[in-house]
Amino acid sequence: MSMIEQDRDAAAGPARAAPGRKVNVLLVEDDQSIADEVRDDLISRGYVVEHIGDGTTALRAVQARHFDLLIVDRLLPGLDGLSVIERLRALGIRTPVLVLSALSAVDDRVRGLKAGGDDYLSKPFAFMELAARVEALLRRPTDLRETVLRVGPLEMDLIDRTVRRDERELDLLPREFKLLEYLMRRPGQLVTRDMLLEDVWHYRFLPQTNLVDVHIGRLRRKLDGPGEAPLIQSVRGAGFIFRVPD
Amino acid sequence: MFQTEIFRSSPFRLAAAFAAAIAAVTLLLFAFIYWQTERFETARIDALLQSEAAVIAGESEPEIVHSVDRQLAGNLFRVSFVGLFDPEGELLAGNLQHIPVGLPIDGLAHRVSAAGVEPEAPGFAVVRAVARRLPNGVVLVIARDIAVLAELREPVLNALELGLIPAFVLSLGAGVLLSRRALARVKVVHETIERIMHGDLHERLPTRGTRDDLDRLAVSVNRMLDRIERLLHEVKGVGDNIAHDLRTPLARARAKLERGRNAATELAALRQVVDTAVGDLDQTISIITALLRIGEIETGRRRSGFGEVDLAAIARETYELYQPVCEEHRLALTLEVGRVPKVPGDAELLIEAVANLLDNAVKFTPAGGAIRIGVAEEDGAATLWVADTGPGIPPGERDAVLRRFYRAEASRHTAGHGLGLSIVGAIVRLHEFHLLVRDPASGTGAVFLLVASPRPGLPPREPADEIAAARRQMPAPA
Repeated sequence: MSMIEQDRDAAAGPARAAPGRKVNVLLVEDDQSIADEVRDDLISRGYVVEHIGDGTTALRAVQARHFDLLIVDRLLPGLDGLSVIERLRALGIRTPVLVLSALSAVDDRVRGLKAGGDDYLSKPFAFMELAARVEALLRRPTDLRETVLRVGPLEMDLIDRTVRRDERELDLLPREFKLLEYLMRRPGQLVTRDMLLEDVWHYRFLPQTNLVDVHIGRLRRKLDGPGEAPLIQSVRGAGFIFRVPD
Repeated sequence: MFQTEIFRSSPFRLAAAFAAAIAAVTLLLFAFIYWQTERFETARIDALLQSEAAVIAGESEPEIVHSVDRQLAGNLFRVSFVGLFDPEGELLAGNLQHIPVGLPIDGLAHRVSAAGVEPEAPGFAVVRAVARRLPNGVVLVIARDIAVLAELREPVLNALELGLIPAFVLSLGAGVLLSRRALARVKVVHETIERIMHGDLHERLPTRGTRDDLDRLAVSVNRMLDRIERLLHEVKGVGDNIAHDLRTPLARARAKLERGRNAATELAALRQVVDTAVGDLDQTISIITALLRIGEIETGRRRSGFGEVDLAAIARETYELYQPVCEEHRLALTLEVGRVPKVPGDAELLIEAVANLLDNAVKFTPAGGAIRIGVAEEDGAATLWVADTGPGIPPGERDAVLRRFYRAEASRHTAGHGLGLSIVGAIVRLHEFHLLVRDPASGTGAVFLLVASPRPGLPPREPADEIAAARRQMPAPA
């Protein structure tokens, strides 16, 4: 029923598990071909992936062993995905859960998160999106109680609402400030357009124009003075990474 | 089958109920008449007996005996029994066996039973009787059989029969007749509905123009059928269009993959082919997602996210959201916010609607143009409008643009799912707002207005002929 794959050398890709430590991911998905693809993709990114096809077995596995992350499909034979999550939470198991579903309606999403899921991804999804969400769940953002964020040359004062790059003060609009704060809390981490729309703008719809790119572009121009190293990198077809120059 | 149908039909039931009511009222009436007549007769008899007794009592002793006999001989129609009893109760003269039991000797009429001496008098009868003690201690009793009162019943009952039974039968007959007619019409309606259910959607229920209730019902149903037919027609057209729209990018992706597989000689070339094919697939997915989104908004009918919404705040937020986008497309975006009252709505959905309107404006306005977004009060309703300097929408195409699942012809050749206005429409219908398209006051372009009030007098889910009304009623925003 279950398969444990050995950690292989991570393939190319911006979202990658931290080297040196094995990250155990449990994939609960009843569609074998999707499960195979997801597992292969995650393995290629350096994760150790176990796949289980039904809710009841998955529930037992999580109680028996430690996992760093669960990826749970909503529709499963036996015990459905949301019930699995609810029972785990009731047992006090706080492992982060990414809910997968073919249902994209806002209601379903809300239900998924209410049941105890930490993030929700509707099918079909790009592997890059999945990888970015997995990484985001594994690397929880830095301490939320901090009042000053310092990343590389940037210093953000969350109380005065000011940002400095070295000595230069940046003039940001409120939304740009939030966008930068989100990125600064996730240095070196792939952040997708959908994640930004959901978390920075709190929109649950996808505008047709490249809104996020345009806003990132504008932030970039304010961030990077002449001759300064760019801080936000674009990842083609996926999103952005806030990276501190060496 | 038809027989029992008649009894079940509502006209028949109504007629039967009426007949029963008529019968009950008539019975009550006749009972009252009978009761009144009987009371009157009894009073008359009592008065007669009392006065007769008084007259006899006033006579001398021998005359009394004579009078008693005379009463018996000649007056039997008015007095049935007479008796003269000595103080011991023995009969002196007359045809009564004894003083009737329970009859007070007070000179007043009472109802008692009397036993007569046969063969002169009936052996036993219910009577009105008067007893009176004469000065010499003798008791005089005269009584009258009240069987005559029972005789009164007969003409009353006869009249009842004559009046009631025909009335009852007539109402039932009318009921049957009316039911037959109604059933005949219902039968036609049934047959028509059968035909409609078998797919003949052009059929309509027969109407007579009489404006009776069945007719009005038929007119309503016909209006509903009109709407259903139109919707089905739309859905069918949409289905065909969507199928076509999905096929195009799928066909492209397929062709690219096939050609890439055969022609690509190095990994980089193959990757490029795959990337563009994935792009095509993403477009089909975005069309499907948009369709599901419309379905979610329309059929969900959820108003759980509703609260008081400030359209000005929504205009400001979407302005801020699209400012950089317009800059990149070399379009001037301006915000013109007036004060408007708050409206009930779902802020998130309204932002989505306005974002789609702005998306649309950005897509169709050539570089160097201008887009304006504003909030104003028009005809007492808070209104959010988006104006562009694009090619505009010819009046003839405007209703099409606002139709459900409208997909812009141009969008088949541009990026995106092309269902933006349909999403706007779905959100507008959920809010029971209405959406208008107008010409700008000057120059080319289109003005979309999201009016936060249902269109007066008409159901809000009917955007088709709003444009005409809009052009009549409202001036273009300055």
